[in-house]
Amino acid sequence: MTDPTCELTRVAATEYALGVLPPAERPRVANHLLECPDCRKEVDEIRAVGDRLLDLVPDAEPGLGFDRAVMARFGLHDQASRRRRAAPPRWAVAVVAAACIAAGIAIPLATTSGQRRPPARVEASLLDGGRPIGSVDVSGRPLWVYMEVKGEAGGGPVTCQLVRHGGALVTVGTFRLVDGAGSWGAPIPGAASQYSGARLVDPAGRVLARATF
Amino acid sequence: MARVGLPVERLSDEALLAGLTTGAPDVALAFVRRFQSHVFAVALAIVGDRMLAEDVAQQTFERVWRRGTTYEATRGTVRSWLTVVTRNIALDSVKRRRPEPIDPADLVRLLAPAGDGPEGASMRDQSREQLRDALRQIPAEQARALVMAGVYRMTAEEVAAAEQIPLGTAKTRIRSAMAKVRHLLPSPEVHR
Repeated sequence: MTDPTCELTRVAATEYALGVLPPAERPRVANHLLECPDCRKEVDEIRAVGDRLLDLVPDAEPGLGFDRAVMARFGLHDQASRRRRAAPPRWAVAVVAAACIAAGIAIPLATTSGQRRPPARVEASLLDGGRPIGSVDVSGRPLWVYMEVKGEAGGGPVTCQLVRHGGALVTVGTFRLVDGAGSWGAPIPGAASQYSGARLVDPAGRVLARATF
Repeated sequence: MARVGLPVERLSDEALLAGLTTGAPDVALAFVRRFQSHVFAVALAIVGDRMLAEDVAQQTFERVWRRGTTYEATRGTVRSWLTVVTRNIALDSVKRRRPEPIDPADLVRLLAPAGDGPEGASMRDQSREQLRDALRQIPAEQARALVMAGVYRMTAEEVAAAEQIPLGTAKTRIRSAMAKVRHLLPSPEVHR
């Protein structure tokens, strides 16, 4: 490691890996890490030790019902309960359907008959300034996002972000490009119809490519 | 790429966090259960009061729920990011009682060997003991600086203020301590 940039990065590596480097200094380190596998390895190793440091915090458990209290704070617990009460068990639906058929009563194939179903799958090309460099696919049960990149030469970590309707960003995960290419997938919550697009960003937060579903 | 259907409890930390921000109740509950012990423990270590620590921990999850999109995977794990959020809320909550970010004397407790009590029993983990051994072998002021930065996620500037030392000295202590601890640990875990 004789490159002066490597030396500068090494000086800041511990603070960067622990997440305590001042914001103004982060992009310089992040950009160098994209190009330098040695420094990247150094930061990864420091980060691993940094995570072990968190184990020094003495064990402690919150009181019983803590999780429910947090869910109530989110306003999600009651919502989940109502949803469970509203949905009839599968056997009950089958019994009612069988009884209707036996009685000669026409039944809809789905309770949403007449309504437009939201898409169970969305997919689009990843575009870098209009040039396709890959694809994004959000589908499956449970829901997964798949990202495939076949760009030009280049490497380093990149982050997959999904864009919700309304513009909120959901950072799903990070994977590594080698010679400009890489593929990756991860489970995600919710429904495909919640998302309007995806972004591929570099560690400095620059958007490398976008997809619009 | 094989498609694998995972129960929500087996989703990655990042996927759970993403789920939390979309408001999926089962994912949110799984996220809270996965991290509640750590968040509460960090809060308790800072505020020293169980009731206040529970309130801090609840506020932490609520803030993450509202602002989960501020997480950047490239800057560390979800666990370390949660530690920062918890730490900030805990420090805000005790600011009036404790003007300095953290009392360095409190850190001695983290560096002490595990005792025989119930708390000590749960801390007799080999990894922790290796870490404590390594920290005890380096100069105390360096160990404190590393614990401040690594456990409480204090910036070098905050370490300098707490220890009343120049910023450059704080940075050097953090960096030197990490280099020595890495050297002393028997088998550093990389790419977990």
